[in-house]
Amino acid sequence: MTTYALNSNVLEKTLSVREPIIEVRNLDQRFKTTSGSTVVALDNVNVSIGDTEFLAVLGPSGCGKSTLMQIMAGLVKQTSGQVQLKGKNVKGPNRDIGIVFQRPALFPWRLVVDNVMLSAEVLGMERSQAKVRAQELLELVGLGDSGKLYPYELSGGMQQRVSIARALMHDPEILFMDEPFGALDALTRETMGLELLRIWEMKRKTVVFITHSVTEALFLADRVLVMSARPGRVAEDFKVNLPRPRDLDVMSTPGFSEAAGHLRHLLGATIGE
Amino acid sequence: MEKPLVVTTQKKSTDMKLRRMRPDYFLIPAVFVAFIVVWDLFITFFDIRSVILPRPLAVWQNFISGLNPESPLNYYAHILSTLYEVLSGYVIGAIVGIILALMLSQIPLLERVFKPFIVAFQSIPKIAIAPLIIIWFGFGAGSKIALVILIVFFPVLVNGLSGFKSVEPERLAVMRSLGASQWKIFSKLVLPGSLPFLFAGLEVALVQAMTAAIVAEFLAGRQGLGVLIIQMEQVLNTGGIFGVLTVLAILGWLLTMILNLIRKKLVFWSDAERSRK
Ligand SMILES: Nc1ncnc2c1ncn2[C@@H]1O[C@H](COP(=O)(O)OP(=O)(O)OP(=O)(O)O)[C@@H](O)[C@H]1O
Ligand SMILES: [Mg+2]
Repeated sequence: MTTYALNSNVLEKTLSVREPIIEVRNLDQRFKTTSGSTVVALDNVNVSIGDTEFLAVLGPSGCGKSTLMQIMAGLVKQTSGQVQLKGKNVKGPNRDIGIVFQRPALFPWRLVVDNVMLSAEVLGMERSQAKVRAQELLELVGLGDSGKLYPYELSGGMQQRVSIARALMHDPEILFMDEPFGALDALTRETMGLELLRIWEMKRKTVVFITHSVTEALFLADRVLVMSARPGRVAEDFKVNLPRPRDLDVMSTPGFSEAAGHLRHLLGATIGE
Repeated sequence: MEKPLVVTTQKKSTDMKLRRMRPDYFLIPAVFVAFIVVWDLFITFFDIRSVILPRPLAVWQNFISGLNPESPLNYYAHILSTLYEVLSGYVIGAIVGIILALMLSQIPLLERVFKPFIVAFQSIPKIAIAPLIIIWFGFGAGSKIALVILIVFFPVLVNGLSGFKSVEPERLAVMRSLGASQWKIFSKLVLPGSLPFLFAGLEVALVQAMTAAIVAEFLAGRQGLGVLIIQMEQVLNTGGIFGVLTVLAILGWLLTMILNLIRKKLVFWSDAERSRK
């Protein structure tokens, strides 16, 4: 019965046209290098990201994925173009956003639980409530009894779980993840992918997930934004038509292989240019 | 499933610590005794006069009589003056160094303007300024403190500056993405992150602070362990000098231990600290 409820829920989610939570229009980003030349990191990028959508951004190294994310997160000012979050122009950091990087970037002098509580402190949440919530989040990422350890006492995968819990602490609507599993071994990576899907189903966040991996993008996302390099452009906005909820078996279905083949071909073409 | 792994590693590290400690406890006194014996044999064998090199026993007797408050050459007043100069100069120099490092790290223009002067000044051997300082600040404790401040200030400033500027970009982005204020970014990220650097500077500064105080006392002064050494040198009391050196070694060791304790409390988490022992 629960399965049915979840399925219909998800079905509804995939079928309905979501209203966009992030709109990127005609976005350009140029950087001046130290030697004085100009790098075009993003060239006329247009994306619309739906509420509670899982979007993967896939592209070769240097195509501007991180730049795009940092502009959307209000950390970097764009050269031109428009970024709107919930209908408002992005002018700076926004508390509707949580970020996870490739490196866990935990604060090593803080206990694991205090790392999770960082945003509570910065945003001035009530402490005892924050403590309860931090513990819940640690349990959500499978580290319920590691709160009193220090980050260096955890494995790389465990540290990355903590940084996911930290990003969820202030209950942001949007989760930006910049190659969050890039530094993990293949096995841990698959487990983390499964857990991320579980968390996403539960928390119903909008996720923007940057990756180099075709398989990871297809396994996780509703849509894959394929980018090409130099200058960074959107090569294709690819809809993933795979059923949810997904497990690892989905990777051996013909639909998956076909989509993967298509994306690899596309990536190969963009690199070859 | 991953939990027991952590527990085992912790147990293993304590075991390893115990196994590593045991030979230490035995070897340290053994090396010390061997050193004393070789020293004594060396004197006997080469028939060295006590004015050149006293026997360990003579050094010990001098040291003990220096500890006796009745003795005319007792150490206490001298220890107090030297400690007073070292500690007050160290604390002032460190505070000034940290504050300046803070200002320079926050205001890039200030750093660009002052960096060349700091570099130029840093390359002067500060001890060479000692005579000048004595002209300016006189024969009392003031001139010693001034020299200690000058010597402590630079390593603290330079290390503090690189500490305050060594913020990992991802950590900074996490803070910025939350809209954290400059003060929150400083107090929660920059300051704690700079502590390993700061302590590296403070450690170097401590040894140099002792040296500075003693050298200043050599040049001029009424009291202090450096003054005592000069008084003994004038009557060729070599055994006495060795006694004072022993006091200096113990003082230096004590101060270093105190600093180490504070450091371990504050930067136990840093990679450098954890690979240290
Ligand atoms: N601050 C900057 N100054 C100058 N150039 C920059 C800056 N940030 C990014 N770039 C350039 O912009 C381009 C895009 O960089 P970006 O980091 O967004 O790529 P990416 O797609 O995230 O790459 P990767 O997959 O390797 O992380 C690169 O050519 C990079 O050199
Ligand atoms: Mg990147």
